[in-house]
Amino acid sequence: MKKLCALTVLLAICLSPSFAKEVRIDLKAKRFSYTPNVIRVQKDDVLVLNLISEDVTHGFYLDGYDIVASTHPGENRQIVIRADRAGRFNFRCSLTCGDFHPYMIGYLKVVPNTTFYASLGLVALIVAVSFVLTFLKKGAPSGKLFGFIPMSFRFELTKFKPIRALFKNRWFPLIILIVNLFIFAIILIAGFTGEYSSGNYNFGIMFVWILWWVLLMLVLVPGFGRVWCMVCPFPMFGDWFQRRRLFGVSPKKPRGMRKRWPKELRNMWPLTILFFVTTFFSAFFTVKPLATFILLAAIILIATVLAFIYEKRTFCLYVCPVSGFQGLYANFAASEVRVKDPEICKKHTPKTCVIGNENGYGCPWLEQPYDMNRNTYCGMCLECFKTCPHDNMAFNVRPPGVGLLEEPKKMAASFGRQGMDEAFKGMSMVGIMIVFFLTMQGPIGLFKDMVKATTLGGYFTFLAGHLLFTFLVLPVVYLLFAFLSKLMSGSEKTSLKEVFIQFSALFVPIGLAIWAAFSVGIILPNGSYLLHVISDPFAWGWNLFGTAHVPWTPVLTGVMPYIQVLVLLAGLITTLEYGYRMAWRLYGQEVAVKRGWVPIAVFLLGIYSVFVWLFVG
Amino acid sequence: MREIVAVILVLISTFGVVGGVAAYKSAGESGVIVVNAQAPELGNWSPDVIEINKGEEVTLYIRNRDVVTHGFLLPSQDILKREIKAGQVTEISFTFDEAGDYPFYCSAWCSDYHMQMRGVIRVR
Repeated sequence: MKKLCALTVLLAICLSPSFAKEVRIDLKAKRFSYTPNVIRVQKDDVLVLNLISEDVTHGFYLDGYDIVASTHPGENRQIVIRADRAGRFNFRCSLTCGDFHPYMIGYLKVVPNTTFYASLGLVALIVAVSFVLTFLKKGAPSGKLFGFIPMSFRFELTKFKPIRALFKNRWFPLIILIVNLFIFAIILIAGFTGEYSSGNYNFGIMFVWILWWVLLMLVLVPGFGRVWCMVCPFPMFGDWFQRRRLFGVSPKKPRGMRKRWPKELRNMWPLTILFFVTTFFSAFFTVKPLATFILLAAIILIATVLAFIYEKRTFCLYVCPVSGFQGLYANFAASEVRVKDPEICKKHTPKTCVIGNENGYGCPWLEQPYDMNRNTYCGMCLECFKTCPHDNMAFNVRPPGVGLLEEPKKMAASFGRQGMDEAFKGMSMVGIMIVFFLTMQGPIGLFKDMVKATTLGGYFTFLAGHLLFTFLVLPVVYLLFAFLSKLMSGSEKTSLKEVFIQFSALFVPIGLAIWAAFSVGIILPNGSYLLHVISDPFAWGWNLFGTAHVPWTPVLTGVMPYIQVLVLLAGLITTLEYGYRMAWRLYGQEVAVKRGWVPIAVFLLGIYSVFVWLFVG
Repeated sequence: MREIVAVILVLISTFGVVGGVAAYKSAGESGVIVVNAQAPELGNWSPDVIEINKGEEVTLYIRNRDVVTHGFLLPSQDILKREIKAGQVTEISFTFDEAGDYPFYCSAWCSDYHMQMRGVIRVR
């Protein structure tokens, strides 16, 4: 009988299609990385992990497999995993082990990584199909995106009377601003009282860096452009000071020194540099409650002080660190504030949208609403809806991305806007995203130690690397492709600078796609912290909504890589669609366009392949 | 009129919130003993000697000011709070009927010096 059993087992093993081998690995956890940080196994292998902590209590959560474990120092925790799903899966620390705990990540690669190869294949296929389609088609691209969405499509939301009435009411958006003020008061208190403790259970940290940032990158900016600026409470005190009134419109002259911002700086350079410098401290802002408090308090203070010195919303236009990418990316947004009928504006003097009247203030963002064709510097404050006596302002829904093709106006050119400033803003956002990904979602402990300034030398290496990559390596690589584009097009009249600037608008859809994919990687694993903090905002043991004891629960981590790849592919398709149209706008002649387009499409193939590799490779 | 309403709303949502929270906090902390928890190399329990009177009900507000999870173990009263997350506060109450020194410990492996994270409740 025993023999028979043994024989059956032996037979079963021999007949099983793939001989699953057992892989034993000692996985050492030490703040804030694992060793080995990348584990590679064959599909269907049995992985036996021996989880060892080298300092404090650490945890282990495996994305996609939903396995949770933990270990104390001195204890060996065995975790057995049958690797039956191919792909790359993050394993993360599941118990708060220090400030960088949410960034303590390793990769399990179950090979062959079919998701990665399939995604790369799709990227190549999309570029190839795009090539075939563009080269088969004679003449300029049609006025329809992807052949079926008319680029001129606009749907006016304000044609509905209640919406227009709302936009003309002075309580709107003031009332949302007041609600936001309330939320930010709680954020500031939580940040201040949270001191130096880890931020993952802190209301301030979670609301700002998980909820606000992800909402911004996934919904607000791509959908509505600068809609955050509409409801941002930070400049409120400055506005109140200048206008003398909080709600109404004062007939008196505005208060303050009302200086004008220097002409040379009326573009995106100050915003680009300020946001870039802010990212030097991202490792503190996103994990230490007090650091978030200091950042927000400084922004409120600077916004208010600048309102004493400079006119109107100078702070929002040229100083606020998060204003730049919102402005640039707002050109992609699926909505816009525009005039309905330019003819009415031509006859209308004086221009109340600029100088204001008893119903509202002249454009606080120093735009000329009657002549505005880009979203970049429109803060969507809705004052022009209130000041226009002809109800000629409209809030339109439009196809995403069409704003990228708007021609610059004269004023933009005179301020050096929509040129190199926007090109470098777009590229710096790509560089910043890569640094954020490597430090927050990557497996390399060394990078984490560098950004959190464990050693001064490491920190300066990070600063130098960040600067060099973002402002030298990436621009030079892109310049090379821009140069090739010009060379291949054979165009004499187009300068390299024009080529460089024109195609740099493609960093907008690229940036939106990679930041969206990055944000998915924040919200799905860590969104459950929000449930805790809304019930216990000050960490006093409250349970306002009954969710205070919800443990950290990553959701949908199994499909997360697919979502991220889909976002990237959507970005690629959009980038190709607009890129080719930009090539037409730039070169104008069919032969030059088609030849000049090739290097840019190859550049896009390369850059999207790199991001597919970062996210799932 | 609407101007005044707006100003009042703004004041409530700023100073009102801050003042309310501060008042609530000071009310909550009166009559309790606040104990800060930090890893031994960063300050240990502070205070690490808590003097109380025999037969008196005492409430401890244990506040984790650290970056890691701490725990609170008071064996003589059979009290164990396994997990006090970084930044969080836990409240516990007890009464001692006999004078003496009763040690308490951290129950989560919080640092290399975790074993030294202990304090004493001195009952008079």
